[in-house]
Amino acid sequence: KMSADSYARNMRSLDDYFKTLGRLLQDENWDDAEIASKLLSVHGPHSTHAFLQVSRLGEQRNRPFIRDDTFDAIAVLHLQVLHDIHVEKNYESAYDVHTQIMKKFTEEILRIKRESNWFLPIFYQLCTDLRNTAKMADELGAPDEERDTSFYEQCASFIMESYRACITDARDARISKKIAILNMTNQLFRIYFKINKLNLLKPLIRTIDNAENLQRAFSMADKVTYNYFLGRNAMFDSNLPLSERSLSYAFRNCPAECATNKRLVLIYLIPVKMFLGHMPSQAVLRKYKLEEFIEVVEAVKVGNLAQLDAALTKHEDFFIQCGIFLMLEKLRTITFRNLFKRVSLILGKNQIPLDAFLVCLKFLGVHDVDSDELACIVANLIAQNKIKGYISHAHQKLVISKKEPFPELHSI
Amino acid sequence: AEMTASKSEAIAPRCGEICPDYEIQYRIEKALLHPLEKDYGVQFVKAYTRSAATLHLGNPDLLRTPEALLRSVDYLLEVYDREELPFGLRFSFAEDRMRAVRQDSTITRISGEIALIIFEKQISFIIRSEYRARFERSRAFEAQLHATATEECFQKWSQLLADYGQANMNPSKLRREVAAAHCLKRAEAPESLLMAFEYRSIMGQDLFKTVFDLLLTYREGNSYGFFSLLSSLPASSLLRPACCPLVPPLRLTALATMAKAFKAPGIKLPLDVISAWLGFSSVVDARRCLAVAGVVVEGDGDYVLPAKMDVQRLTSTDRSEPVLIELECSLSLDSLTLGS
Repeated sequence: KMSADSYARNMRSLDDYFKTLGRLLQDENWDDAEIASKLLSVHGPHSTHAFLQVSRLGEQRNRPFIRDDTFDAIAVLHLQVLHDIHVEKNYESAYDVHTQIMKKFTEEILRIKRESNWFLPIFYQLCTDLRNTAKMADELGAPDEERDTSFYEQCASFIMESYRACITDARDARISKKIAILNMTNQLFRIYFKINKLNLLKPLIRTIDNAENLQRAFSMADKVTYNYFLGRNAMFDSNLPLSERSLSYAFRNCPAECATNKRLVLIYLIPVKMFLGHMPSQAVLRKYKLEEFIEVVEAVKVGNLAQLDAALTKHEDFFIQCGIFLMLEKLRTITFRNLFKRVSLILGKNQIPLDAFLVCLKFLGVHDVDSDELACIVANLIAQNKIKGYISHAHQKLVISKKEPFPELHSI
Repeated sequence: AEMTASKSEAIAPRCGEICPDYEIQYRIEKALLHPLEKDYGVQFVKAYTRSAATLHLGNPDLLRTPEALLRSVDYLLEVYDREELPFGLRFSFAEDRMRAVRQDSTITRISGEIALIIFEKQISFIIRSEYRARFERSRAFEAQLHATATEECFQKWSQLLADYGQANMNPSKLRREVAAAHCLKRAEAPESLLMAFEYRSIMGQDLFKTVFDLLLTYREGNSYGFFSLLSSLPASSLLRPACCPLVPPLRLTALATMAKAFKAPGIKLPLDVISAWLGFSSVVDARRCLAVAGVVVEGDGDYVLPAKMDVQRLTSTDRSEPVLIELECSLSLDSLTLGS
């Protein structure tokens, strides 16, 4: 079988396009559908052929066509989208036409076709293109003050409509349309993250959690993507164990050759691991071009708060994006804890004057913490079980337990 | 639903007064006057209306222009500031009439710099009046209504800021403080720190640092640091009343922290230390707070035994409104007027 690129290279006319698509669709199998999906994508290898950027092809007589009426209509609409993008540069119209493709697919394929799901690769591509055309319309289209929501936000409703059409299919996973819910969930994850409506993810996550019988049918690519977004969402919810589990899964199962994606996962996984007391090595950070973390990790390890602040400021934009500020207070707490642990190890006693910590803080460049505030900080570490001990106010000393006074962070 | 504007074209308002003549006549005829309008010589200001049966919501003659809305807000703030009027009356009057301003604003789709100014003044009123109303235990205060108004105003304001505010290279003090207050309103959420970054160019570096440190100390449970920062703010700062909702949970957390961290037999914690950790300027107020939180003060009322503190009770989230109000009081918020 040829690839989509090869098919596209060999096309010379509309006739070639429709014949190719027709052949790929006639056997109704998943592999051919994957190839066909690229030939129905707005960014597909065929999309730059001027002879395929056609408007209102459906109104023309004696035009080439596909036997299946629905796919024929979809192909015609797809060529209209290409025309709107490349010829008219009317991105709102391109989006609008693409929504018609989505509606048609949902009503005439998802809701009607039973006992089969071979067409899902095409559907997945259509969902991705829905978002892409929406983005184009938002960014390149004419501004409209009357519009309350962006096109990007609006496309969630089309995907949800399709979601509802698939969720009730209780057949065997080999033929059920329900296996599409993971891909659609990922599409919705992207949208809700962008428009900052993460609360809408909860029911979707619950559904995936309950779909144990479908886990083996989901593709690894979709599972990796899902866990990536699940892990990021868990960071927002301060659910560190879930965040670590999900992002670690995504990292482990992302192929080695997808270095960009692996790096993306690490951008969020590293802070989460740090919050749990696992510091990445410099070798890992350099391997994945995450040198921005080197000074931060060093500062946290040695308990140097001033160095931590400076390191975060130096690459502020990057750290804002990676979510480290979502739990900055946790990172600072770990830094304090590491400093106090080092001081206690140096002094070698289980009764440590609070002044000793204060002297160290000042030495490291932190001058805006006085002895009262220091006591408050130490008290919080004890209350959070990061230090086992108590403060003697009268003697101004921290009395630490003789056994494991600084428990491992991941065990707390 | 009553605030929802039609999805069709915005209505061009025509009323240049703070209250349409039609409404004045109508309310006089039907004896629908607010006590301040009836007995205290306060001018008529357009009232919030629920029903379209009596006054057509979309009638341009009854909808105020942006300039009239701004004059309405300024007049309402002036009335609210008149200390010689009973608090409950001026609070309820201003609150209702501000709601009417928002109603007109939504229907006419007010926009631009003037819209921003109108919402900023409303937000300032809402934040300051909430503290005062709770402190005075005013029956006119309805927590749910107030919370809805706050959310609505901030949402609209941030939308307007995104559309129109970025071009203004010299934001007013009020605008900067409203941005700061918006971040503090979200202090419980992890993304509050990210919000501070988003608003940094509006707030300016100094205010950004203050807000960032307030958020960080709050989220760290560093009550000493938080209250030190708060007390260093000018008395007139909007940040002070904006921080009020954060005070009860932080005080309870601080007490629970003290109970765990100083929990050894015989350890006494002096009241002045507790007072500083809880942000009280006097031990008398600290003593009252401890009584409300169920913490026993020993001796001649000058120390607490952390070992006897009930951590479970302190960390319980089941708190009544009067207890919360008691816990947040005594923040020395002296200036509650709405000066610039």
